Amino acid sequence: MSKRLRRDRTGSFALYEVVLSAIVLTVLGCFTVRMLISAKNTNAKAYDLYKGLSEAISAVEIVKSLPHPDGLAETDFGPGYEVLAIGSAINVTGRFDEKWNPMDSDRPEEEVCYYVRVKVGPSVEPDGFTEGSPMLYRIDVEVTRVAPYVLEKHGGYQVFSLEATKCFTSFAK
Amino acid sequence: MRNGYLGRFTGGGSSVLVVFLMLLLVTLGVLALSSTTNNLNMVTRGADWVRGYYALESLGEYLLELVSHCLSQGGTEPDPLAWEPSFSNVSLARHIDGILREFLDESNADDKDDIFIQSLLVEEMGSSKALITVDICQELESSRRHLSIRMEAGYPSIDRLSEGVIEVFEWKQYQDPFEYESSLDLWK
Repeated sequence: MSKRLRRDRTGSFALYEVVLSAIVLTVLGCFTVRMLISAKNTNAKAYDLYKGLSEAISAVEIVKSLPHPDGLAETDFGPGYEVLAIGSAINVTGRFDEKWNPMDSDRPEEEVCYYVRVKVGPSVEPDGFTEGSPMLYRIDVEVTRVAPYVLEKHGGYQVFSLEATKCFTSFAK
Repeated sequence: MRNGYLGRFTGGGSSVLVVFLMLLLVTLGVLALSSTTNNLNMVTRGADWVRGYYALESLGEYLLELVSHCLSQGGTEPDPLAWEPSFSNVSLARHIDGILREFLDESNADDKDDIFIQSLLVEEMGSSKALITVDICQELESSRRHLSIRMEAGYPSIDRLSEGVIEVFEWKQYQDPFEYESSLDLWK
């Protein structure tokens, strides 16, 4: 009887062995899942940076191509963008959903995942008569993601920011 | 005997399979993570390159603004930088040269800046025109990037000071060519 038992024990795991292996596999599994999610987030960040970079460059080049920033219009930027003039500065805001599709103004604000904010204004606040005189404008672009990435608690992640300047002068040909 | 052996083997087989799957998952996870991290690093380097490009452009735009101020005439408040031929016997070229060199001295005082004006040449093209050649340089990790600007600023004639024109002949960015290190010992 005892011989048979001994022989059987050699062919199977004890309970504690099974439990231990289950724990090890669970820990390893959690670690692997965490790693895969981290890879997914890093990939999403790389893609966001690429898209944000493209949008920022487009915005800067659009502003630089104009004879004067006062002539900025929503049609210059395409769908998803709004232009608002506040004093001598001009604010342009682009709204995109989670797949970087431009969002119309009639869609709810909760669906916005990315903002592209462009601020165009004189580098030095003008005093007195400025019409026709050369002026240096700052173009600040900031791309932010509102929604947090997977398993991250906080949103408001800055994807990319860019500073550029442009001299608007009537003399340059 | 044979059946008993097979039974034992079957029992461990599933465990081996689970362990194998686990190893496979971990390996794939590590590969995915390293691949995406490298991808992010590459895009980040691209983003830094773009920031540097526009920083270099900014200094060029600032110089263009300075030259434009030298040409601006009229208005309710005259520009303090504007050239007035009646006040002094300084030609437009010398006036622009003075303004730009003043800025050059100011910008060179800040040694920490990685963007600086490497060369500046203002040539006289008659009494009312100047040919400006500037080379702005940016220090990068391994090489230098340049913005080369060549422009002509002036008036059609001395009595037509309201018709100032800046004609940009060249505005280009380029990078110093890479030099391979010949002294590198591959077998070390």
